[in-house]
Amino acid sequence: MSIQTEPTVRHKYALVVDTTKCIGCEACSVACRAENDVPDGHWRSRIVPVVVAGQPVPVKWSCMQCAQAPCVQVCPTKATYARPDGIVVIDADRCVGCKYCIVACPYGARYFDEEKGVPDKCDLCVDRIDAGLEPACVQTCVGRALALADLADPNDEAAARIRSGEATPMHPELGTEPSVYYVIGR
Amino acid sequence: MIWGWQIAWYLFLGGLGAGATLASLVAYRAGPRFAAIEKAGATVAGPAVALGTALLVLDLGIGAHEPWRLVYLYSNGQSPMTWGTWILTLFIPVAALHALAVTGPLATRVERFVAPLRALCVRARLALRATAGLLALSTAIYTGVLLSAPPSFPLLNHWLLPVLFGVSAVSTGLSAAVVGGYVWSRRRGSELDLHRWGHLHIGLLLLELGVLLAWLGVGSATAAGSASVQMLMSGNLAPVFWVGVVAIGVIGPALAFIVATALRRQSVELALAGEAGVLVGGLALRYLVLLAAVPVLVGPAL
Repeated sequence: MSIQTEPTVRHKYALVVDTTKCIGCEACSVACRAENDVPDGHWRSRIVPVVVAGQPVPVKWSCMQCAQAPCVQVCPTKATYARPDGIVVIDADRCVGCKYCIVACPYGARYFDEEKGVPDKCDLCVDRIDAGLEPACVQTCVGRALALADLADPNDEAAARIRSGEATPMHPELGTEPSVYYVIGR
Repeated sequence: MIWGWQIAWYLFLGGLGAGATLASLVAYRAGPRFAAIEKAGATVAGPAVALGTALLVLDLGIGAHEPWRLVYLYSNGQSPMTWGTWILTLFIPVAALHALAVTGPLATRVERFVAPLRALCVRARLALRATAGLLALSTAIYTGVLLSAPPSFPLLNHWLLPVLFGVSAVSTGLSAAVVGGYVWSRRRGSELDLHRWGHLHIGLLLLELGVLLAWLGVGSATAAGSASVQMLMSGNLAPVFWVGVVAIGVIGPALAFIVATALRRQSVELALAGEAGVLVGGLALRYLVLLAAVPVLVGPAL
């Protein structure tokens, strides 16, 4: 698993999902499956209907990259950990497959890969990020509803939407401090 | 809930083993008349917890195939599972040494090999009792802490769950020790006064019922918790809850112990049936806690 390689460049990643631009086409879900080799019957990212003002709105749902992640706290082996840039990753070589992280995630964002014997989830395509690319879902989104934000960059437009409060996390009352932010229309 | 029958059995056997150690210590305090229960409780504890732990390990996706990875389980001081790994690692051997200290010699052929160790254990039996007692308490409570720590299942996410598991652990461990003590006494042609234990057990069962109801009461506070409670009280899990946990596991044994005590000598079968009921109820409780866990965000979104 790759770790931050440039100590002088600090990043704090977040994902901004603009539901007012989402048409629910699932291109992000498909790109995610192709990029991450997700087994049948499971998902790292998918579209779920969330009711806003009485109307079901399509919402991209994946690991919330929580700053206070229950999965990180309960993982007995420290196979699940948060990188300095905020991305929560799984070191599959260290995992024993106890499934406690799956039990602990209140967002239901993890699945168990029966074949590999370890859990898996969205990691914002860390290998792509480390290679200077965007996550597969962000790159493929036809309506430009998704954006990778860098909260450490004062000029980042997507980060500005988070700072202004236009984009807010889903279910902050769970206390996990998610790093996926949603713009919800009225 | 992704955890299945292996984990339910593990939670049950871990509690039973811990409770059997505590029952053994109570029997020791109660005097030499109850030596059979002391010996049986101490003997059952280690194998029960070891069997539960084996089921837990077999349920691991990869640790069962690459067992050297199990050393990583000791890494995270923040994780209840790491606490549990330490507790089990210490409790299983200490329970075995405690059993050596309080039981008599085995068949000569086997005893030859354990005699020196047994002599050491007998000399250190006070320390072994204290250590085994502390580790047993930790084991009994930790299985509940494991489930109550994360925020994902509101019914489980409450401190009353470790209390409930703790009381149920003592109750099932006591039953295992009493049944074992009865068998032990029968083999030696001696009598065991089961009725005194009936009194203690009635108190435990009433306490368990109280904690169970309080836990379900506080569990109803949230939407998902209330859905869980509904599944147990009137939904598809209700038959197992009312028959398995409440009738067979608590009310039935309590009545059996009351009647058995009142009838005195003729009631050994009734008392033993009560103990069996407690064991069935304890296992059913562990299953239901896993099956009734409704996630905080259903579907996964609202």
